[in-house]
Amino acid sequence: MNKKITEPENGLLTNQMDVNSTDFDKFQAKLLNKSRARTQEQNLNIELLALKYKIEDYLNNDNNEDVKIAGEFIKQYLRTLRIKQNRFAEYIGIKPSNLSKLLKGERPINYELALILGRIFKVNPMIWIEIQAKNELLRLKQVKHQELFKYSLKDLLRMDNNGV
Amino acid sequence: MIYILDTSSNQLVEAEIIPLTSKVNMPLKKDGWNFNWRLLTKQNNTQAYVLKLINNPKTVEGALQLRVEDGIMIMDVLEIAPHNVGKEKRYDYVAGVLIAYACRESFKLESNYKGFLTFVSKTKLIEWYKKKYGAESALGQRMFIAWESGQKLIEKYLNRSNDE
Repeated sequence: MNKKITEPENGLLTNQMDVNSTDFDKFQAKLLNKSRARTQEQNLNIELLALKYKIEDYLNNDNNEDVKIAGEFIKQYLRTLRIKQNRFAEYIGIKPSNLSKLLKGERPINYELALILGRIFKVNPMIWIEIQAKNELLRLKQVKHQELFKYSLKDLLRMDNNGV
Repeated sequence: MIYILDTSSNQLVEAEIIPLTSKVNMPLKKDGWNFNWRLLTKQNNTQAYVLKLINNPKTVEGALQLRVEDGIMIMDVLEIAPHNVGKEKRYDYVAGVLIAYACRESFKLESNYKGFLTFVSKTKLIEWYKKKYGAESALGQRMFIAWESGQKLIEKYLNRSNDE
């Protein structure tokens, strides 16, 4: 028989967890058993999801103190999947030296490679392009900081009104 | 993009989850909130978040407090705004979005408990959590959402598109 579902009548939906109790220890042990019962494939999927979320967070984060190049994320994928760089270079059809440059950010990821990486790592290919675009904009913003100040919509409109 | 449902128009509206760091966003008891969120934000190894509409950033629609203990992600407090409770609720999906967000955070843990979101349910809401969010009971009111259900919630509530 289905148990009756009670919709919340109050906004507070949880109680706080008492972590200093034997019940918490038992709860933790149950979770650990669940975790250990995962298959290797399940663990791999979890790791891949975690990486995907980290990349999404990097792209959405406006705090740009810690710049990460796309190659760093590719390296993390390879580490998680335990795939050697040479083997990966061979698989995607590029020279190991070129992959090395790509991982260090010395060569950009082109659109074709973004599609390949997206397919292999099950992520939207755009993320590789977006990471590069974000990093390049950050770099230019720092380098051209002063120069950018001379541009504004107000100036543009004033110039237009003055018939310049 | 995060959306919640405006129940009066049946339209999805854009929302965002941001860390609760200032008084500006503080849910207050005088406004009908049950929890003293002011105290929570001062605790160590915890982070509180609020859910707000993009076009109405002054009102908090829901609040969440996460805590990591022994490598376990604990949703210590989950509260939805008084105007989002019951049959006359203003917005729906508030709890779902916050729970999905908490699940997503659990994937970032570097521990055996990666992908598990844990919490203590109100007694009356155990079946609600099971049915609606795929949660499982572990010990009394202590519950968890495993990674498969968590991933589904993330897709459903955090990656929704407005043309649904």
